[in-house]
Amino acid sequence: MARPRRSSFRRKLTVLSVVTSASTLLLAAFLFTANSVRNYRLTLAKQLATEADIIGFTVTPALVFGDEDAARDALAALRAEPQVTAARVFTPEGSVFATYEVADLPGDVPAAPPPASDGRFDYRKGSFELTHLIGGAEHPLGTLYLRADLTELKGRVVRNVEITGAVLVVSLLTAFGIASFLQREISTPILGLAETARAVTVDRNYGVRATTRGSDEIGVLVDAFNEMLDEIQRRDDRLRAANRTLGHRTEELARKNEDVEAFVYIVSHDLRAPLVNLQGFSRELQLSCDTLAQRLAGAPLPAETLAAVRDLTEVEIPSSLRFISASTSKFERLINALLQLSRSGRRELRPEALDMNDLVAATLDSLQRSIEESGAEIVVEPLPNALADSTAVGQLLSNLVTNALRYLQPGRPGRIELGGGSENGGNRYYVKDNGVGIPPAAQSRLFQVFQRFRPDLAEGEGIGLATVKRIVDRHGGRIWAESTEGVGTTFFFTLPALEAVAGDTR
Amino acid sequence: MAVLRSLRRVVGIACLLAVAVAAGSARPAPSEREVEAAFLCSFADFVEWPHADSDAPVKILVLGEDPFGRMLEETARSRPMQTRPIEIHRSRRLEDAARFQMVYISDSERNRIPEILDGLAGRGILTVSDVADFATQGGIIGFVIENKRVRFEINDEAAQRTGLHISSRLLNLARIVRTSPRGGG
Repeated sequence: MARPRRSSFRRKLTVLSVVTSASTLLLAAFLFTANSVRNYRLTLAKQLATEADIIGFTVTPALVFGDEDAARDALAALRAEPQVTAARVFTPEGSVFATYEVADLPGDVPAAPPPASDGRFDYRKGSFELTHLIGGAEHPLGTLYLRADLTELKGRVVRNVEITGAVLVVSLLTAFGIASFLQREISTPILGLAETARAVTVDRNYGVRATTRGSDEIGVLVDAFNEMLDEIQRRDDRLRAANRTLGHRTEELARKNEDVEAFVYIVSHDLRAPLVNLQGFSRELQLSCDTLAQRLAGAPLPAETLAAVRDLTEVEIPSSLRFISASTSKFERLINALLQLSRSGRRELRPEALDMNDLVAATLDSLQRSIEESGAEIVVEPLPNALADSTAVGQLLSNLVTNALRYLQPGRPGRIELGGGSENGGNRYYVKDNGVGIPPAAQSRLFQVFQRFRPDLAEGEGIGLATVKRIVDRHGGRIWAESTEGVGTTFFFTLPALEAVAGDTR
Repeated sequence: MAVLRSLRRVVGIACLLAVAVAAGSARPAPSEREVEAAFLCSFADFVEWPHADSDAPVKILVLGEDPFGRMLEETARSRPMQTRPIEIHRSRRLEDAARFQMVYISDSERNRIPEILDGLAGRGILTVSDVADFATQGGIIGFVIENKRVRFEINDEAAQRTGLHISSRLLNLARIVRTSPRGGG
């Protein structure tokens, strides 16, 4: 791609020189020829005038004494002048007195003297004509008509054109040679510059440098270009170093993140077995305790002993077992939440065309009991379809609605609104409540794991919003909250729009 | 314009008188006498006299009976080349001829040509006549008729002997003759 441009630049420089030379040469040749023709005309006019004077002088006595033969003889002297092709002498009355004509060049010599003044010199019908009054204009003895042909003039022009053509060819070849040689002075550094620029652009090689030469404008250009390359190279090096560091860090972070997730998964999974044991054996212990109580009821034991044992079996032990049961239940919920969080980060997403209206309806159905218990009013606006993983987005909606239900303002009729719309490059959805709101200080930590702001209001593990953020992040969306304490909170999140993605894949 | 036209007419008439018009001309041919008168006046333009003021008038004497009449004065006035003015005189006496540059010897003096030529010899006088064999008898210019046209013979030897220089352009038109021994004797 760079090749034809290169040659065209060189060619342009050469053509510039050659065309300039050719133009000046042609102009000079034209002027030279024009001047030569003009000079020839002037010379011919002068020559013919002299000729006419001589002939007129010679032919005068012949006219005076009416001797036509003598006049013809006088005219015959014109044989010595090859350019004169015809001559004729007229008497003052206008009749032909004597004629001279070159035999092989017959022309229509005028039968009457041309009505003209003395010394008239004219170009007519391819020849020059001269009219001369013999004996002066005052007492003319007759009129002499002379005609000179243009063969020599034509020959002169042709010779001029030939010489000019030869000079032109030689000059142009010389000019071409010199221009081809001299244009290097300009084109070589510029082509070098172009070559360097090409190497930089195509090969991304910022290490190359254009050859420096001279201190003229091109030299300045080359120097400036090289300095620019230096700067670019420095920046490029810094950028590469920064990218490398960043890459390492990202890898490191990803690895650590994986470790954490694996750890969370393993811990929660492995904690399950002991928890189940704990729950199972607690129940066993309760049964054993009940059996012990029945056995002791009919046993022959002293009354105080019996009372003390009964206190143990009926009050102390069941009370402890209830504490154990409550704790294990809480423990179980915590583990389940952690597993959910872990799954939301590990499970492979399967994006599909998602009818958000259906999904919201299903989610609300599954939360029916909580909603009824809270007595909140749920409002659902029509929602645009998204391209997302059905299970994950279901989890997301469920978490947000549960969250809203949990933090409703006590003593105020709850109202939860779901809606959304299209915006540039995606869809935006929101879940709006009129709950207690979030204190400003807490808003920045809202989506972090294990953050709880109002533990007094509701049970929770501080994992729900972290899960929500992770789901949105993995869909390439954003999530944020706008909240006023005591008025309510609105969670916004974005998901890929169905149309936009369909458009991209096409 | 009118002046130019009248001038042209004058010139035209003059030339009509001055030259033998070429064959084919519609005008009536001039008589031999008219042609001779025109030639006589024109000779003055082609001859140089010794010790003569070139601007002074050329004096012509008609010796003997005048065959021209007023024609000669008119011709002298209107001839084509007027390098010098011309004065015309007439006389029958040979003695009067000495102070003239040109003498026309009339046919009436035919019988005393040798006497007249002897009388004018060495005085630088151009002698002209239409007498037969005038030039061969020792005269300088003699009119002859050739093919019904007036021509002239010139005896250049006689002219040089008397100190006259006749232009070669005039000699070109003439038949050159010498004084014949019998005529000169």
